[in-house]
Amino acid sequence: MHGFVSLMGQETLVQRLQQAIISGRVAHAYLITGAPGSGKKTLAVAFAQALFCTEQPGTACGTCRNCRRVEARNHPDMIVIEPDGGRIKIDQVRDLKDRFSLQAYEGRWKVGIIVGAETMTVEAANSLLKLLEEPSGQAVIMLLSASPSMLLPTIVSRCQRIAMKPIPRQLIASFLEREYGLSPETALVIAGLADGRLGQAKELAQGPNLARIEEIRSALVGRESPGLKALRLAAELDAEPEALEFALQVVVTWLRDMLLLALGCDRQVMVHQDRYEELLEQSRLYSPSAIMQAVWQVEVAARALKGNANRRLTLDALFYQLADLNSSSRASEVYKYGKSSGSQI
Amino acid sequence: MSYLSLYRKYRPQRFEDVVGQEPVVRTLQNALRRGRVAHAYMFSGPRGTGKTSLARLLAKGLNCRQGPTPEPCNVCSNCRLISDGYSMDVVEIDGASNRGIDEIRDLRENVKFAPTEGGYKVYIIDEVHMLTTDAFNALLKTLEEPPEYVVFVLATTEPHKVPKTIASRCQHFQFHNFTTEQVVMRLQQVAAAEGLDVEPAALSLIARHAAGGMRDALAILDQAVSFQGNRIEERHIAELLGVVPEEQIGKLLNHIAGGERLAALTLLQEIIGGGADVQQLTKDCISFLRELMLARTGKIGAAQQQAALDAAGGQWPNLSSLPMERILGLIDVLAGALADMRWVSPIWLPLEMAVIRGCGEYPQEAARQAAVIQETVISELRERIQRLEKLMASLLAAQGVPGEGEKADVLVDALGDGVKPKAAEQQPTSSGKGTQRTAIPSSAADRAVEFQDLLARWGEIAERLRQERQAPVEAFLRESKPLGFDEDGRLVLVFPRVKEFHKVSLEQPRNKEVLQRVLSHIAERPVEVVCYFEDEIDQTNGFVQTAGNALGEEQPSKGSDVIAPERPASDAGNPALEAALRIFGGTVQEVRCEAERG
Repeated sequence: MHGFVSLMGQETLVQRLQQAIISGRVAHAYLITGAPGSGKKTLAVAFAQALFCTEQPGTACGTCRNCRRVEARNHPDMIVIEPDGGRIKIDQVRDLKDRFSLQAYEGRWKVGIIVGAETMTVEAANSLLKLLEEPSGQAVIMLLSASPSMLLPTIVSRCQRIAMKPIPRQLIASFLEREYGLSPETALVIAGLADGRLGQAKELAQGPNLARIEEIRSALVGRESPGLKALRLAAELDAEPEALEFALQVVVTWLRDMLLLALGCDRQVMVHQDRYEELLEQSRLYSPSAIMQAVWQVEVAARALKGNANRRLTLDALFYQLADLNSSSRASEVYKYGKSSGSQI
Repeated sequence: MSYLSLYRKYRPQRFEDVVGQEPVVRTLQNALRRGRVAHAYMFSGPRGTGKTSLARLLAKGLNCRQGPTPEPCNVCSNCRLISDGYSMDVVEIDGASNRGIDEIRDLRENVKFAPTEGGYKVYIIDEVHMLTTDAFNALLKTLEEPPEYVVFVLATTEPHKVPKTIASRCQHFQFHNFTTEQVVMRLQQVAAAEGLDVEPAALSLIARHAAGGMRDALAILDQAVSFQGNRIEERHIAELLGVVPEEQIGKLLNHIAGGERLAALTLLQEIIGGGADVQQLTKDCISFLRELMLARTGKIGAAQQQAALDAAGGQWPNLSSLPMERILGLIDVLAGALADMRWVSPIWLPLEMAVIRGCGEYPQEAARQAAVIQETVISELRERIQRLEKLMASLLAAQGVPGEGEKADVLVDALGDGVKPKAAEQQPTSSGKGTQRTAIPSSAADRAVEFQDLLARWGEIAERLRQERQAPVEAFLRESKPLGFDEDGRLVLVFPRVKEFHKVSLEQPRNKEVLQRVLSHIAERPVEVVCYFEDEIDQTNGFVQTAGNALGEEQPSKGSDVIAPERPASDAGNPALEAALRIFGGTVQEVRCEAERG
């Protein structure tokens, strides 16, 4: 797999970029946006290959010397900047500027790829501005970002923006079936969770992650002692922070499916289609507003976790509340009761 | 020469090419014409409004062979050098990269050398807000009194980050965002020059999306051309920007406004499945509602307003009848969703929830909740009544057997108009013992309620007394504290020991009569008054304290009849225990109170 070929489901984007190369209208700055795992880097590298390729300029053969060097990230005229310790610093951008102020080694394009552009410090971002507006010679700078809203408006306004397209669920599902040997049902669920991102789907389709997803879902369905299960889940997730994000996603999409079922939506729109019967049964137990409340609780927890809250505490509290879904008001009563009786004695 | 972006290619090269920013352009041209060019300018404004372009134009105007001139020729060697960026006399400095004091020191050294080609040396410091404090301060002296052939232009998007001392040495020009019309105009010029065939609707979509930044607009046009070729339609732009057509948005909002939850959710799924940018979609929904709101308030042009309302009325009946509060509510909900998208994955989830919320209440759900609330209220009230009844029974038991005769007596009292003189003369102590007078005009709960009503209207009493020119009575009354009605329906007033004078005065028949008349009027039944000292209250057996400290400063309840809140003594029925069992399962081994150990 190489170049544009590996970009399943992004045919329109690929076509447009190829068109730009063929018609000689390559812009000097692109901002490629898309959620993590949506293929931003793949697209950027494929684009670089297409620029450098000697065999099939514009489409990339994937076999010529240039294509291979780009693939291996050691083409002398391609510079890739990645966050160093979480941020991209001004010195990294200065290096890029120095390299871009020189002629290309091989006399053709100069390509800069900035991964995680939103992590640029204010100084770094500002010092990129002039270069980004008017680089000399045949230069292309590609900024990749999952959260473009965090970029300076002055940066964004200098770039042509390319948004990765969400890949249709069916397409991802059949890919997973083919490449990872998943059953059709599981593949569809994973595709639903991946939310149109192939990279994310590949990640979720890994064995341990699959097992984790399954475990969370059975915990959500299970009846006996939800509280203890909640505590155990919280403890496990606490030990495995990298699984945290998709675990919350499993929970929140499950709740969302319940809600939509309760409101009378089709089976077709459910993420967890394979568990339709269980979902249906559960959705009858709770009122829509209670489910909405629960969704909101997950959102609150997700925000707290991104804001550096204590992971274990947040998870404990969240899973508790979820374990007691329909009687969250009663739970708060218990809290009040416990407090007042304590102060009385 | 490689391909140049449209926004670089069509950077204004003459003053008349500049769209908008008339005050700035006119001032600069006049300065050039009259030879009154200042030595330092500061250009500030949002991205893509022409700061750098005008700085270069100014440099050209100064250094043109025919210059200084308000219309640089663009053909002489100086003009061309400046256009191509090779001029020795126009130094463009990237303030964000060369931000240290050393770079500014270099600049100070170089300022000394006279211009080589033209008459002026122009220093353009772009992104000047990123200079360090030291750098700024090193620049101060040079900026204030540079050699006569030097002109500084500082350009920045963030003028508030520039020190006051710098700003005060410059002529400050503020650049404004372009209006949509101005952007469209410029786009038309560029499209014509490039030989493009662009739909007007496409241009206005670009302009709206660019939000006032000319560079943004030209970048989008550029992208469209590179992807689409020379013929560009609105749908190409919409696709490029991931914008959902207005028609779809209107339809979605129409469903929401009509509370058609299922239709709205299905449509939303469809739109998202089609690859729309969810954040953009949310923003577009908000601005759609905003336009509707503005049309409603008549804050936009009449024609535009009518068009918006017509569109809403014809295609989307639910929207045209949407009340203002719901528009505001929907905007609120959507804005909340937009904020949540930063944290929540999948990203469309907040929007979906917002749609559900926006559709309004769930009818069955609301009914169910109402029933639950009603039930809780009723059971609470029942509990309270039971408690009061129990209390009453215990009080009655303490006072002996209830006498039927007394009840009749009170009844007579109630029938008689005005005040019963006999009661007025009664000694408080004798009635306080209350061994015989056990009949009650109404239940304890009723009395409490009545007393609360009276307290609520306490101000009226004082008011009325003053109106009746009975200010002294009001003054005496003010020192007392109403405690409640006793079981004879008399109002109990208490005085501190030190206010004996006031108590005695109020007890004088004349004063008391006035007060009772007023009270009776307000309570709409004959009311008698009894007065006690605070320390006597304990002895007044048979008095139910209801709201002793509702008025005035709080008073520790001395009455013996404080109702203790019921606590479950046994394990059964303990809600905390039940909840714990429900959450964790298992069986109860032992119940122990944490504090008992300590």
